[in-house]
Amino acid sequence: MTVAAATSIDLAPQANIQLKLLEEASLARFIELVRHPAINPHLPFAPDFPESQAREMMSVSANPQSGCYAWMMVAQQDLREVGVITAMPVFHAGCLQLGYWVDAACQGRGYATLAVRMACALAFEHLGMARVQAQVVPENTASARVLQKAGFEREGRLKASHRLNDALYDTDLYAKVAA
Amino acid sequence: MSLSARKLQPALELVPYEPSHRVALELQLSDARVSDWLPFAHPPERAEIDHMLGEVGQEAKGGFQFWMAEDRNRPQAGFIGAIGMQATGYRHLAQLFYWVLPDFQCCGYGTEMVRLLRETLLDDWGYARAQALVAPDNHASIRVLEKAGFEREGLLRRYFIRKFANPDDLMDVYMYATVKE
Repeated sequence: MTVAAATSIDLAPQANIQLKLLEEASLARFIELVRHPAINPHLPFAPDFPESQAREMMSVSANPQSGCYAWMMVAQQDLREVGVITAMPVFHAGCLQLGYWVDAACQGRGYATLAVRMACALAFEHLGMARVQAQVVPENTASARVLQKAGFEREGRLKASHRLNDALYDTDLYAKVAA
Repeated sequence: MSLSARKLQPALELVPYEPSHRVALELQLSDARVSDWLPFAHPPERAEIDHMLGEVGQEAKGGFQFWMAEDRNRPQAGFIGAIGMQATGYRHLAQLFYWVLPDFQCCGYGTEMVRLLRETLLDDWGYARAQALVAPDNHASIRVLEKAGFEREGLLRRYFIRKFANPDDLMDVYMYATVKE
């Protein structure tokens, strides 16, 4: 699979989700998931996340040169788009940072863990990444559990490393390195 | 005749980088004891320095700034080191890098440089966090950071490019940081 062809990831055929690169048909659902009142406070996006910003993320994601990706998590069972996972390079080209969120009504079903695993497989096996990382606020134990289950290790707590709505938060840095 | 020790009183000054400093900068980076700890080749490739300097001054774009360090009480010494920073995150955190020429190490210059930039960033420029990455065996640099009030937050695996020439060779580094009170 080439990077350019990574419009849909089906690395684990038995899995109950698929990752589908953000495209026009999913844009409205993507915006809905970003603006969702139960999710939005945790995301680095405004509550009235504008469509223009969603379109920009879509076009950046469609350009393999950017190294940035936004995928919809699609449940295989009913093809419902249950969440989003994003990836962008940090600090150097060999390191990818993940962000993910799942519709409040669909949480607790292991979708995020599966999506993180799939993104890691893509990063290590197809994109040649040396390291995949994610930052979570310590209170978000559900998110930390996702990372632990996906084989990430906590490397440390980074003080005042996350800014959200003009407030600063510490984050725990989790990472997984290539075998 | 009696000999009395004259206490060294450094008066460190950080001079914003300008093109006339290029020769001095190249000279600093040509010292293997400096470049060994940096991702530059030895001797540094012209293009590597160009690449670093290409981002100087583009504050709005990369948030990259760079200073040459001198001691006003030792004007004949020339520049004794250099320090730079790059804004990251949502431009609320700054990553520092620095070096002191071997002849001027052990005089506290490194600590003074880092302390000065830390104060400027956090107290004057409104940054929330200053951070630096350091190799676990770079004991001198670790001492500088700790004396300047930075704390070790963790070991980041395969996070740093050892040499630009070989981007696949990634090394583990400590993350040190200090935040605004």
